Amino acid sequence: MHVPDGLIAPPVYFAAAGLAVPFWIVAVRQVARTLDEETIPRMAILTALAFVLSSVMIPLPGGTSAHFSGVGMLAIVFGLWPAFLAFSGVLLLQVLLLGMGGITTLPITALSLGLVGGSVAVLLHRAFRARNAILSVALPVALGVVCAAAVMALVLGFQPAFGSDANGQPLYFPFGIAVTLPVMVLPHLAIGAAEGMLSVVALRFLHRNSAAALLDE
Amino acid sequence: MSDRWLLAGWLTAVVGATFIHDPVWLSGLVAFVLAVQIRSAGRILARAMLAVAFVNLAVSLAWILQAAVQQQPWLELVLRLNLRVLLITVLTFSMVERVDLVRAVDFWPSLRFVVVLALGQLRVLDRLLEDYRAAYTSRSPTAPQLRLRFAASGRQAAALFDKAEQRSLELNQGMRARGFFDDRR
Amino acid sequence: MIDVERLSFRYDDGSVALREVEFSLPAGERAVLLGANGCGKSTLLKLMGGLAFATSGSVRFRGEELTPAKFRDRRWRRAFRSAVGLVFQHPDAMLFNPTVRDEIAYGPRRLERQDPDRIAAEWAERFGLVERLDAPPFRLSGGEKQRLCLACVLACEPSVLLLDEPTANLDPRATGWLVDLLLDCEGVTTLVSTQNLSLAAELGSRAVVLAEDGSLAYDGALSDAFQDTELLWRANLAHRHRHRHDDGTEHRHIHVHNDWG
Repeated sequence: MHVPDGLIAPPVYFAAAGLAVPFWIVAVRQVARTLDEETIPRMAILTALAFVLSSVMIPLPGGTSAHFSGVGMLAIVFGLWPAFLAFSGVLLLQVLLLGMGGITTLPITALSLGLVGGSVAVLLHRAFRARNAILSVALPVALGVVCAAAVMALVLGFQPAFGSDANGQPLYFPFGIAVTLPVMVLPHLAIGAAEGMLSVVALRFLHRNSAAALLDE
Repeated sequence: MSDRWLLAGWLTAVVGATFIHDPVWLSGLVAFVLAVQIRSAGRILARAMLAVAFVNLAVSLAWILQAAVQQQPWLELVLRLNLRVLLITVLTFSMVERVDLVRAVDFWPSLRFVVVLALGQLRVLDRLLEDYRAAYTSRSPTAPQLRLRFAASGRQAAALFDKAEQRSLELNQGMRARGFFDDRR
Repeated sequence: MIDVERLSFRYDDGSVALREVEFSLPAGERAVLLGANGCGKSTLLKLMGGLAFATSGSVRFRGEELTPAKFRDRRWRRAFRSAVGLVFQHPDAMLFNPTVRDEIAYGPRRLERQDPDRIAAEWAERFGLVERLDAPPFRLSGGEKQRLCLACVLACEPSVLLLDEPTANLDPRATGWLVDLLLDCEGVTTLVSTQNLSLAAELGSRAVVLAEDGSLAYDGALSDAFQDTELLWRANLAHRHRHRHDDGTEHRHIHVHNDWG
């Protein structure tokens, strides 16, 4: 779901940055308030965890696999704000260390997957907590991924509105919502489902005391 | 100080590139950025092209197909998008080779500590994941079923969480033992 | 210097790490802390280092009990941290500065010592880390990180040194170097945890042995502990395995191995 720099119009990514900054500030304050002096080591570990989690592969039928984003699982286990900050940190490290992803698109990815995806996962997990693992973990994580994909599809789909050249060809990403929504959301239904199931499997292996409570088994 | 300025310069150049639409200008800038690299130009270009290949190809081919069906021009857009994305990617890889991230963020001590610690712990967790993968491979004389592959990935993710939890506690104690938190109260 | 009085410690999940452990470390004493895996050696060192607090009993440093309230006193806490140095078994837990130089200079700088960078350079020279002064600690090898951790702690000139399995990441040559270094620390009270009995003999004359259940199994002369096969067996410090001789006979007996490997 990482969109490279150059496909998104400046007004869009500036607006996304303007929207993301207050959320980052809120996240830092919430995390510092909760973790107090442990904020620095804890956020460092979470960022490292989120980074390496993205290297875990979700096996798919046909011998293929997809990258595990882990955002939903991180949000359910550690809370929305730490997960959002850690994921934002990962996006930054990926660009600055590996040249992967994009810096202008970072706020968009952070907001869509980190904030929207994480929020959906946490809210649905809380709502279905008393139910079985599928409802309380797999479904929230999966829907988080799908919602994030939908947000990204909407952002991409609006790009043709941001100008065209003398020949009428778009200046940025050229496809509208009618294309981006199905193209992005449909595959992410499967990826989200796989990520949800992997989150359940992973939580079952977890040695944390609260793992059982998270799975409610 | 220079790392900070390099980082700022790169960011400015990336933002600036998103305002450029003329393929001639974009190709000229790609050539200029590569020319400045001298010895590493080839490697950076190859890396950049590989990095953008999938997305650029997908978008380009889809647009060409749509344009062909609608009998519309497509060349300028394809060139514009590909060159702009390539230019920014080349700029980014050039920056990655030159900027020391830790020095670049030393204007904000707390952020610097987070970055230093994250980079260190990243290696620990990465090694753990490599070990789990290697062990899984060594114990699988034949290709495992999807269910087993899934379980193995789940175990890897869980191991990372457990290790991170353990590391967090140890790191907290290690930093406390050295008085790190005393100075921040 | 440090008194451990009927110290018990229980984790949050209810598992008991230490049971009524009691011993004293006078100033200048060199002692070794022995025991099986999981018997509570690391936990005991952390309690003595003020990183955790007793469930019951106490740890006293120069007569003052280590309590959470005590550690809220900034001046006292600072004095304690500079006097008591703890080196963790896993060096990554202690390293958080951008370069090796910053790492070693961190303690002296905090303690407002004169010219911390010069102190860092001197300790780096002593520990064979001069060429790594500008490197980030996370790029060092395991052995280098261990030496760096020791340098960081010793640069603060502590009066008490608590070392948790310091040779775990060191090869035999580096282990020999560490032994010499610790012997050079005249007047520093040291407690070194190790499972290596022959190394223990080089590091101290007194042994504090923890049993598997976290209780104190022995506190006395190291040489006497080595003679007590039953003690060593109870503390999982001796083993028994098949010995085959050239004449084809086999036997088993309880014994310890004397090597540093």
